[in-house]
Amino acid sequence: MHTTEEMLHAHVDRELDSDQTRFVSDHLTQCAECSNLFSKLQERSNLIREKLEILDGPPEVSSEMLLQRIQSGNQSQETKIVPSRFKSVWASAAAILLVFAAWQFHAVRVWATEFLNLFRVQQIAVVPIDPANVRQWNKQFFDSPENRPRLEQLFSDQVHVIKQGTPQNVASANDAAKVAGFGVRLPGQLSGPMQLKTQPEMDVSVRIDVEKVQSILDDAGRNDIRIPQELDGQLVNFHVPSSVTALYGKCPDLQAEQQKNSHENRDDDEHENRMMQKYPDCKLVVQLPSPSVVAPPSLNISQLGQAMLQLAGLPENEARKFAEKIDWSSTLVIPLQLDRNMKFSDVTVDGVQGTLFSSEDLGRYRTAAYNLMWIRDGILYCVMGQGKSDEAIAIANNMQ
Amino acid sequence: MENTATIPLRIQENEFEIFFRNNYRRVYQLVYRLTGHKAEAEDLTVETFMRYLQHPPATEEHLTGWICRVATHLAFNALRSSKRRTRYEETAALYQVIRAPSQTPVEELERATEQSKVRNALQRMNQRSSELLLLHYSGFSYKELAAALDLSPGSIGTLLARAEKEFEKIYRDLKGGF
Repeated sequence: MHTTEEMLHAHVDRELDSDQTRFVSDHLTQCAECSNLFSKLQERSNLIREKLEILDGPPEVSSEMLLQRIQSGNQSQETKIVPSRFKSVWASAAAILLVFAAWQFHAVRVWATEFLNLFRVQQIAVVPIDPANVRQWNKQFFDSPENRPRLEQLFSDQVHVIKQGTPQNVASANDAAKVAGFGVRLPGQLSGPMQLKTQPEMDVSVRIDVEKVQSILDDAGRNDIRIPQELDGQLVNFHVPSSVTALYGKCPDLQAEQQKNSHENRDDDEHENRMMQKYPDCKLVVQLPSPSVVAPPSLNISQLGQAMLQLAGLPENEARKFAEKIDWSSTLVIPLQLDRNMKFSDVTVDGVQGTLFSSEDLGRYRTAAYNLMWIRDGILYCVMGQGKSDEAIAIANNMQ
Repeated sequence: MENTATIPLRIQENEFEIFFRNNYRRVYQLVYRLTGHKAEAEDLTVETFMRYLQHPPATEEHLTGWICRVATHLAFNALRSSKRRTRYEETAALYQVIRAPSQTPVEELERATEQSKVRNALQRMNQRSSELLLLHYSGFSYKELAAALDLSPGSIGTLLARAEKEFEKIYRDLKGGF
């Protein structure tokens, strides 16, 4: 005679009375089947206990403060302020810093999906930047034999990237949804062969070392930018959920391209043009839940933002005005070099407002291209391809 | 309405204080486990005890169970109330561990990621199962669970076993195994 699973479970939880306990204990010594089941239940119970315990460790809470709030019968204004400081903070400035180093300064790169992986948010704001400033930045930092290795060292010391898993090819939107953990939508009217890929989720942590950053800035002749001392040692974390990319038409091997990009010091514009010419009919639809950035509440995002905008080439007063005005808690700031007929505009797609970046056909040097981003129900979508931007809008409006 | 807490006559102020002091940690811990967010957990703790003052339970039996159940309900509601909250919960978890100076950034992130996965699993589960797990693993006996959740004591073992399986499955699917 076996005991029931229910009894075994109760035995794990020490919920049986002494007679029952004795009965079950005796039975377990004689019955391998029940004994196995018991071990399995116990193991599961231990694991759940362990998993729930790692949720602990809340900072000490003041009972007096809570009591006072309860007795004064109001939720206190503090509660309205505090959560907003804790909310996922789009420390876009720090993200910009990352992108500067890792992929150089490219506002809208058609092929660099890694760029997009870092940058999904609630809303998008564009800061127009004079391209002359970008060239200046490259000269001061990336083309400088002294500063480039120092920058690389700074990033390898202070930036940690953890990827949970590896990219995968998947067969269908359903499979992609299973791997990525969110509902995947695909454009209805695009036909023909399609590849679906998922990118693993990624966490990036950046520890700010003010002294090192400042000394590089100073040596590069940018001592007009002061990194506030209070940012020192602050840790900023980026969480980028798993993303799904659908590729239509003949497309480059994105992973290989990303690796080449991050290892080679190449002329990105020229490379981009070559890629565009090689894969004229490739279209990409990228989607992922909005990433989040966490920074300690003491981090003054607007200060950091101002420094980064100045680096990107905005004059100090404009950078400050912009940094103060923007809601860094939810906004992705894209510094966009407004050359080569690159334009951006707000468009209504998929029932929400999106941002469309487009470049016009410049003959043999650059074909027309588009990059449309929008956020719906917490998922950021991005459609990229070559051709007229009407196409992007049609794709976006046909997501199913 | 929400702004004034009228203290019912049958609960003297100091009685309430005693009740509060005996239970606030448990309530705070529960809502913290679910939300992973200090300020949020404080708000929910305040709200929970205010609920007790404004709409006390019909019977004074099993008050701890009652208040814990109110707390988990409020926490689930709070998590649902905002779409952005799904991220909020994760980022808050990240923020908390950032403060642990003994860990390297990588360890901090690993722990934070793990925490967010566990929370994610708890939030994806059937709410009753999730409540059952949270309360059980915060020390509630079957009898207390039955009282707090208005279930028959005989059904707790089965429900709990089901909840544990559900958690394990969702968690494994999120992560690809323990």
